[in-house]
Amino acid sequence: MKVLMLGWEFPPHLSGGLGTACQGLSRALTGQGLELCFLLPRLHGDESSPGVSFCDVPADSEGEAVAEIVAVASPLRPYADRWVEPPVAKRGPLAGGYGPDLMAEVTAFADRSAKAVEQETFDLVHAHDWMTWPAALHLRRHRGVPFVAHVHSCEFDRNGDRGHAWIEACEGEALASADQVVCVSRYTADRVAERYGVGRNRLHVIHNGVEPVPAALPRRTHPGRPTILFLGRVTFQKGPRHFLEVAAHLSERLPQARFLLVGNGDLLAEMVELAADSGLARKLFFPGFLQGEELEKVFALADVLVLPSVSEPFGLTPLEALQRGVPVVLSRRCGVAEALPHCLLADPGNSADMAEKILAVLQRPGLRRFLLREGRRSLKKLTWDRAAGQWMELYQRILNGHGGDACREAPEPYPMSPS
Amino acid sequence: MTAVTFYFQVHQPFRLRPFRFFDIGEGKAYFEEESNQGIFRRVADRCYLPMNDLLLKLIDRYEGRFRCAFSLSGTVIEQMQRWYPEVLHSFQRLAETGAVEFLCETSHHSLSFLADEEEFLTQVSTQQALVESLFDQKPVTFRNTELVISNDLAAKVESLGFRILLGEGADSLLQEKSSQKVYGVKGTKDLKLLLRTYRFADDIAFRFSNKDWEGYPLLADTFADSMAEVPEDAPCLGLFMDYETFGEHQWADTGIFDFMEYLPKFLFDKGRFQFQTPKEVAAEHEISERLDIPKPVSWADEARDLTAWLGNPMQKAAHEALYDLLPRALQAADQGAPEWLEIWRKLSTSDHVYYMCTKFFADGDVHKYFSPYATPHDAFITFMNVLEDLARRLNACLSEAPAEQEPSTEESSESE
Repeated sequence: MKVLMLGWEFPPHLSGGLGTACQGLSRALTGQGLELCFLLPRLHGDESSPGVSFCDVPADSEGEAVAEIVAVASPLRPYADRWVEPPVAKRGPLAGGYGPDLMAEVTAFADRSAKAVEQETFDLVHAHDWMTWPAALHLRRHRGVPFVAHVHSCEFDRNGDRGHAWIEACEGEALASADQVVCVSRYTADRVAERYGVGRNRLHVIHNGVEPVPAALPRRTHPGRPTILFLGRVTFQKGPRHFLEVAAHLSERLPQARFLLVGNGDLLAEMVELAADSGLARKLFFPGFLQGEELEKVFALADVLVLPSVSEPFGLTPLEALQRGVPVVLSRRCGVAEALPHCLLADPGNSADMAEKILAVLQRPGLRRFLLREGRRSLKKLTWDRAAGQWMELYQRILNGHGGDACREAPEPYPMSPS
Repeated sequence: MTAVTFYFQVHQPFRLRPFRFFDIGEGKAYFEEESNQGIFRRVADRCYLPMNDLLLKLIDRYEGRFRCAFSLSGTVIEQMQRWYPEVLHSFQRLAETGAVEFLCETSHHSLSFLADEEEFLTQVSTQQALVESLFDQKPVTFRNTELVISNDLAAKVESLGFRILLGEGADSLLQEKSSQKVYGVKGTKDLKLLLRTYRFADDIAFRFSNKDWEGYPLLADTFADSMAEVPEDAPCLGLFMDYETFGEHQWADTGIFDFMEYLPKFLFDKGRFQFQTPKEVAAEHEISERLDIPKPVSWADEARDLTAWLGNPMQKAAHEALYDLLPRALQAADQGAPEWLEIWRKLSTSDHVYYMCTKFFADGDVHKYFSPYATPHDAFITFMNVLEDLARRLNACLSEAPAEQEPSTEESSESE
């Protein structure tokens, strides 16, 4: 069995969690004997994963103008209420990433995808998120293979009701016609079913995995001076504003508390000004985007991680925090909570409640130990190997011609029973 | 005769190094010696030294009839002493001609008047002593940082024995009145206020090399012609500007040095101008009327108010956080650690909050030009990181400090 994966980023060239998930899943799938070819807009030359053949869109290839998705008003998709012409495909080399040319690159990726994988044979296309779905639709038509849409995040997660009409159209069109749709959480599957009208017979849930952490740094927390951590892109989706509201609540109760807002994004400047304006200037620090050793350092300093996301399909950072002995308080609107039966949840808009939960973690050592112990137990199940097993089973059933019906008997099909 | 008063402001701040969150508590220096020195030497070579030479030449050529005034911030004087003593000697030669008046300001080019009266008094008396010792003249004219003036400031300055105060001839302040008169300030007795005529001063300081400006190119003779349009009975005309205008903001190839070399000649040719320093103007003219300045007026931006320094929440928060540390810095100095107070004072230099300004229209360009940071938010983040580090060091200095506890090991049993 050979699968063609379509992706937009791959380590070490990352913008968000998507590339990390692609790598974890690929590695586990090839480990289970799958043949895998990975198509990206552009390879930098240092992508590698055992058993995976990588290819990208040749810089000089000609497009075929296949991406024909247009956004139109539709009773089924009320969000796409504006007519948006499909973007004109970019010519020349693609850059990948999420720059100002993103739309033009998505179109070019679709137009040039058939050419890029001309020499490859594959039984199935597995495409990660909307950027690759126009290409997947084309390849299915062109090569006559099934297409599985893997939903890591949707436009409504990222931008709520102010999403981009063409992106929503890409999602709507692909999800309406994909052979199967796999979401990273039940939370996301529910929303995909509701907003895009995807039938439950084609809808599955496979949770992401998390790579084991080699060795965390020794903890460097200061009793009496708790550090509360936000870690993520500073964008609407991640709820940085809620973090500031929570910080304002907590700093009244815990005058010694210190807050770290780690990350970069289009709302950073606004958050800095808001912090200054809400009396948090001396308590809230902005270390910027961190990776590697510096990221380990902030984990070591943190007493609790808060994920106040407005909508989080999965959410890797809470797992990374738990791996390093940092308890978490999560937004109710997040997928990873399904995999953490014992964790504290709050409505991200209810900062008083979220602050209470954080306070409980900080002030009740018993609770803290319990959350960490249960968190570690949950982590043991959240391996990429488990996810890959579920994927292998799904691939097999699709190729055997039993799409979703049979698949509902898979280990964790949608709807999934609480573990 | 109308007295033309050139007053040049000479100032360099101690800019911060990129001070990241992870630098807090690591014992790192705040100020970047190398880049500050590099900037200082560049400005000295492009501006201070050649311009001082030119002014010396003009004083000599007109046998003392060309005269001007300077204010050197304490921070720029320290930079001269540390990195380029020749520059200080060159200013001292200007002082020796007797044609140059040196003014007083706050030693660290700070906004202390707006925040802490004690600190303001200390910085003023420090600067007064420094000017006197270096240039052998007791300053009688005061210019506050960024030319900020108000009723309160004027009263305070008079009580300290100054006789003349410089300010901006802002429209909001003058309400159609002339900037070319000697004023008094409400609530003071004899203090004389001399104002800047921004129309002419900004032609030189801001518009000189602007090719889109209708007055471009600005030539000495035509500039003298337009100055001659001011009423014959105008007693004075203040051309106050940053000294770095010459050769640094306006590069030598714009012709700015030639302009200055020939301007005195064309003004003398009019037969109605003389050059005088502020104290000379004040000695010859009585107060025409008293101005009421309830709210501070500055020389910056269109608004001529404090918003370039204390306009947005970041600037206000940073300013407040800084002055909250002052009592501890003073206490540390009392307990034998004066170095932290000096560092605090270098942080009080107004440039640090100026870099946090978010007014991006006509004025934003000027802010951007002067800022070593990519964004005002970077400036704020860096400054607050430094203040956090300083707070910890002061805590460590003062024995009462709640010492940072040892890293907790409580969880080691939990992690596997």
